[in-house]
Amino acid sequence: MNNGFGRSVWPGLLAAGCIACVTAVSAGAPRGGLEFYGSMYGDLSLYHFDVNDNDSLAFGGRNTLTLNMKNINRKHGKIESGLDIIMLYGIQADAMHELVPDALYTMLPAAGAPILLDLRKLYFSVYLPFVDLSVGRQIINFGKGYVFSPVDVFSSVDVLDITLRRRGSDVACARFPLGTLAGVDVVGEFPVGANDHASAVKAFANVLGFDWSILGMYRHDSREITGGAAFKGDLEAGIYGEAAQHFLDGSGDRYFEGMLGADYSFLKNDLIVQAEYLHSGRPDSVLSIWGKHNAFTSALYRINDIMNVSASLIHNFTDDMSIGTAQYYYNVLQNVDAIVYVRGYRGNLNGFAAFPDLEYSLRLEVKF
Amino acid sequence: MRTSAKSAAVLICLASTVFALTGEEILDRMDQNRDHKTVVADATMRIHIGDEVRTKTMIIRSITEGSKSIVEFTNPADEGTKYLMLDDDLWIYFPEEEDVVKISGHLLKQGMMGSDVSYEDALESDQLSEKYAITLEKEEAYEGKPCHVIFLEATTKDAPYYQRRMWVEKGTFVAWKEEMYAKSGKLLKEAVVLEIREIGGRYFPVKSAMINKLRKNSRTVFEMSNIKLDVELDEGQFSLRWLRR
Repeated sequence: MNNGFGRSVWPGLLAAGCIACVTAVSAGAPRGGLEFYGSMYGDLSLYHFDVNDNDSLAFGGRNTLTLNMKNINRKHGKIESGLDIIMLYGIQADAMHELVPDALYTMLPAAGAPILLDLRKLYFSVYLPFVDLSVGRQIINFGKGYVFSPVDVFSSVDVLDITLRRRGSDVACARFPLGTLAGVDVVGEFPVGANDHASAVKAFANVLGFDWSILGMYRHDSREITGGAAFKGDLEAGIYGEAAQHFLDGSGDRYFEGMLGADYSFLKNDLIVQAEYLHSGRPDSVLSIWGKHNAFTSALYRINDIMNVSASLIHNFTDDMSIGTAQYYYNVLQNVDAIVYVRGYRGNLNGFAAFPDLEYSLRLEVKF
Repeated sequence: MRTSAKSAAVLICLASTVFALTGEEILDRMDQNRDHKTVVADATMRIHIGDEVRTKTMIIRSITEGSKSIVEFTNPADEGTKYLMLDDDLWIYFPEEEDVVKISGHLLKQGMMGSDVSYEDALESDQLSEKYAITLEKEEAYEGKPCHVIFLEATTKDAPYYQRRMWVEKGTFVAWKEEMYAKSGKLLKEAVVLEIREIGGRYFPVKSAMINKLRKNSRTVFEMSNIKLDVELDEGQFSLRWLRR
């Protein structure tokens, strides 16, 4: 049909109709895209060394940008990543320059602050009706312990971090829900280089107010089989525990690890105390920073809703190694925190690199 | 004539006695205001500590039957932190560590995210009559509103407060003010409703304040918006599985 101007009106009507349909559909569609959040914090530290009765102080520090990203509409799947960009100063920068020649990496400019990248998370998830699948680097929490966790073969706790962050693991994970509070998780770690990698199955449920789980794990290279169990619940105080029986390949050796923990509060919940004990019967051939007897204890006192003081101690009785931390936390402004902390080190809990015996630090953090 | 007036007066007094509400009945009428199957809302919690104010924002989804709630925090400092409340149990999801932690019972008295609203306050089921003996104490006005004053005394060990006193407005049955006491008689907290809205024939408190009487200058103002009642919710959301999404 001509509209009198010598052109057919139908293509225009068709285009308008298409636009109207798309607009109507889009208006009802959930919002897509990505959201970013994270924080930037700076640690400024003074380290005290006592070497051969010679006292010395050294400056060190770091600036860390933590950048997190996930998709907004997570109804059918998720993409998540977490990246730390770290700039080192002082003796920490010096130590990095000693480890890696300056000219080798552009991230380590000569005489400049080294820049490190730590990809903590990068994974995607798909939510099917009967299973959630996740593939990539993610944090897998198998246990109930705050510091010690015999059943956690994947994402270990960084005891040198004042927030006790966990490291990500490169895994494929399938989570089968069996109701509201129960399910089965199957996790397989990707083999990378010479690192031993593990696979595990965990079944969990909530029974009589307690969270229970039983686990089976297998380390592929060392052919170590582990059977374990964990629980968390209340008996006046909060209590939790884990047990793991390890069977070493070929030798017929076996060893047991057990952890027991408790938490309680006093003074109308203003004082919270927590303690964990780890017993490890591992043989010398199995490397670990923990000895036969280990303990963790902490106390946190809330001065008010934006300030608290806390102290914690991690101690390996067998090898006489420990880390003690005392800190004061203040939520200065809406998204700004300040932490002043002192750490004492005894022994060498990371197995390498020389350690100071005292550290005095200030952390300022801005969250976005 | 005088006899008729006298008789009428007696009848009115008798009628008042016969039809006066008991404490339980007042509580029942209050519960009718909260007679909804589900709630979905955005919420803002402003925590006042002296001159300082900290704001938390969240999305709340709740199913009344079975006391199920999911709260997801959206302010930068707590982005992605989620609470799953099922009856008297609470799990928290920490997104940074991708960890789901069951909160110990003794920590339920702690303030939620540093506020004056404890986890126990948030978890509390609407059925106060199951945990308290209720008596109608008196009639008293609160901010010009005529109110029934009801007194509640705990009958079970797991009641969050040993004694409570509520000012319930006549007609709307909104509890405009509530005092919570310890066993010693010490006043622990005071909750006041600041604003209500009529939604679907019910009076819904959309803004309220919790004042911590044990701390100086400490109160939390809780405000809800975009409130939707009785919408269909997927029960699968109220599970450990959904916390990780």
